[in-house]
Amino acid sequence: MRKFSLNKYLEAITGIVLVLVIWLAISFSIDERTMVFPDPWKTVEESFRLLGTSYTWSCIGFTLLRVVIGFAISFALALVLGILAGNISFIRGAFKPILSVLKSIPTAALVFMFLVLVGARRAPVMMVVLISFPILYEAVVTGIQNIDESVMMAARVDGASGIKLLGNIELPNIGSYLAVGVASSLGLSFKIEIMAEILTGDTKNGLGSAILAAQRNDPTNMVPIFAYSLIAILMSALVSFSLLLFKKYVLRLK
Amino acid sequence: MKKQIVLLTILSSMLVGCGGGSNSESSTPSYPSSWNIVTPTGAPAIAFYNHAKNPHFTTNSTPSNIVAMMNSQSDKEVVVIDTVSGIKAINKGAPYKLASTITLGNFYIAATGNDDDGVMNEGDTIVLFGQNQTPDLIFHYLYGDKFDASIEYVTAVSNAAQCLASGKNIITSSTVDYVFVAQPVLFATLNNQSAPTYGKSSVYADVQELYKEKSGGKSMIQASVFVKDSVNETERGLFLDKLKSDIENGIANPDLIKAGMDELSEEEQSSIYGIKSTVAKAVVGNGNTVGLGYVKAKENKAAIDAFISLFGMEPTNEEIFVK
Repeated sequence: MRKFSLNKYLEAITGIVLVLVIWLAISFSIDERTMVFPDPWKTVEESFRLLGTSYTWSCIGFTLLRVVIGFAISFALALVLGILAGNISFIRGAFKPILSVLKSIPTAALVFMFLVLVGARRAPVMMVVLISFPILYEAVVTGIQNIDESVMMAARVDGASGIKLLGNIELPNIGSYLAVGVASSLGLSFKIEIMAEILTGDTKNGLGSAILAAQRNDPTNMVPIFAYSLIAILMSALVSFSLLLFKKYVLRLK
Repeated sequence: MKKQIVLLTILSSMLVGCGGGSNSESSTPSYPSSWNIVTPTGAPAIAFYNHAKNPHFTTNSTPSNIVAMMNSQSDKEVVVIDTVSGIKAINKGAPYKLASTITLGNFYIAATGNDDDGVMNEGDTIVLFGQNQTPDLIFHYLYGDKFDASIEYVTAVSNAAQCLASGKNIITSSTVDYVFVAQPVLFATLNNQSAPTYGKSSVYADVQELYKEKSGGKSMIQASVFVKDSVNETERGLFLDKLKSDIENGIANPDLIKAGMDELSEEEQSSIYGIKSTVAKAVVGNGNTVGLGYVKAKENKAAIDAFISLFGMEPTNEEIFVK
């Protein structure tokens, strides 16, 4: 039976309309909207106002920079350790408890730990590393483990060296797994970065710091907080969309 | 020999001065400009109005995070934090010394305008922020437990300001009569024209005055400056002298505060200092309601001991003070 599927654009529009309807319903059910749950129009208006200031752009820039630095460190670590663990079962086994700890430790506790260890400004970067590393690492390991053993055997029989096996079979095979890992961990990294900026309380540039400052400066006005959150969502979506385009471009090259 | 020592002291002071970045143009000796300073946002940050562009000056909006920076690995030469937390950290081994108190009380009780008789009586709903923390302990020191049945607690001063602006506790939905709040948030809330209580809300009591009356003339002790043990004594002295003169000049002429903070954009001011320069100028200029000042801690030991006793702490040891 053919599955019923709507046009993907229609799906997206329906999703956005649904979000707006829920948002409006909650907002209009509250007396002090500005103070508790501002409506979408005020939020969008404030977002445009904020995007007209250099401060907001520097906040976006610093948050993105920290996400990129943290993600790059995590990606490099995951690639190296994932390839080793994918090929050597001892390393894979040794890493299991570490990964379990990393996945289950409360994120807020880590923020306070890094606050003392590396300072308020570097703590969010460390958070991004630790949150995205398990996802990327597992993507690499799964990618290697799912390679057809007969393909590897045939390559070995043909005299392929370890480096050739890595370059010609393993790396191309982990690409799609890594792409999924990147897609799922990048959005999460963005959220964690902003949360860590708020928890560390550091006040110099970052979307989290901007949200915190907005809340502190006028606690009776939630509009800027919603507006900064909307900007963060748009930035995250933009980054994810850019990655999607990049992935398509890479696949087309192949 | 005496002359040589004096000459050497002068020379060494001048050499120290040469190391200062922003101050290197003048011949006035200064502390190293690379000193890292951290202060909470709000009232204490105003004292550092001359540091707006100093890359080594940071603020943090979570006081407990600042306390966490008072360890031996810390890169902060100067930490500004509420006196009680700072002394507790030193008692636990933090390598810092208490130098001076720079905010001497910015607490007020504000009326929302909902109480018909305008007098805080038993049964009136009172909102306090920070259960078992400074505001709570001071309130109970002043009023005892007679209002306990109708006290509602909120987490932070920003939540208290929400209650003052709306006249309601958003969490419990109850009508609020009085709110324990701090400057400069109080100023911003009373002047918020879009707040439902605008024009009705007012300052009911100055907590500093009540504290002074009750404690026999002692001043409230809030944020203090703590300096790392490892810094050079001469440099420490120079830093504290400069801070003292900055504060005194800022109180005498609040335009200096505004001018210093105006080196940043309005958004940056709000983020880094926790308030805009216009508000800082207003709260300092209008009777210094943020309690900005400079009192050498060692000379104020009696007031500090009286204040920390509210928190069940023992009197301070002489060794924790900068001489």
